[in-house]
Amino acid sequence: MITATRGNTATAGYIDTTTQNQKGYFDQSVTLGKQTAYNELFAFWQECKFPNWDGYNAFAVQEETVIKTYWFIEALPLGYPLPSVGAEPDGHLTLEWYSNARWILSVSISPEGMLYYAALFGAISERGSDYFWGEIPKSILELIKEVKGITA
Amino acid sequence: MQSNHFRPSDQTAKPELFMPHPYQELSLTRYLDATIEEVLALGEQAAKELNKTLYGRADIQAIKCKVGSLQVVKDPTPKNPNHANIKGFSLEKPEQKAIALELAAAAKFYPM
Repeated sequence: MITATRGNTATAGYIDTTTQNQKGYFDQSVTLGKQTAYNELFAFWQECKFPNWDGYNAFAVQEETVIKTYWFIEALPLGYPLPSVGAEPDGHLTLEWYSNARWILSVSISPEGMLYYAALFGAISERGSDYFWGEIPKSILELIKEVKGITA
Repeated sequence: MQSNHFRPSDQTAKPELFMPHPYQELSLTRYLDATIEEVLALGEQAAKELNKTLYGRADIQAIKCKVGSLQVVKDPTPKNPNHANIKGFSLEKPEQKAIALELAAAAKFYPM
């Protein structure tokens, strides 16, 4: 959070307000805010990097999966919201874009770079799979936009 | 439930909770002949045996589990006479995820 002030004039106040707004925008955007997602990713991995991390025989999340997930986040275009990170018992990491329980996209990433996804838009359910070659498939980008109401 | 299984932001269950791997079924406890306190005691016991923290419980109506080919089948155990399984998951991961989203949306999370 920016706390510095530049003076007491109306102009200084305007500049401060504008700067605060822009900082808030960029923290939410992909370009400057990705570190938050990377931190969440690596912190979360510590909880699931060993077999049976869930107590029900879950597979360990492999380093390759973390790396693939890192590059997936890195490949998010400018203006796309960041996901939250999770893990599934088969050792895949998940990235979730969530508006509410019935307006949601979940993408699973395997150590080989396979992407498995499912989305709910009210009563409509979508699912599929694709491969991550360094660029996020257009189908998934469209689903992210749908979940988050991005129209551009 | 574990920390990966719910969203602290709005106290809702996450679909990861309903992914069946490495089995093709999901374990649950019915309220048929059990009180909430008894169900929670089972959860606390399981968490203790697994050396995990119990964050809460996720309730879902049996009828809401009838998604696609899923069905709830009773499977009493010596420790838990109200034990049941959700069976009939697809082997296809995208299908499993789609079902997990439906189940999570139908579940209600109650934190400890």
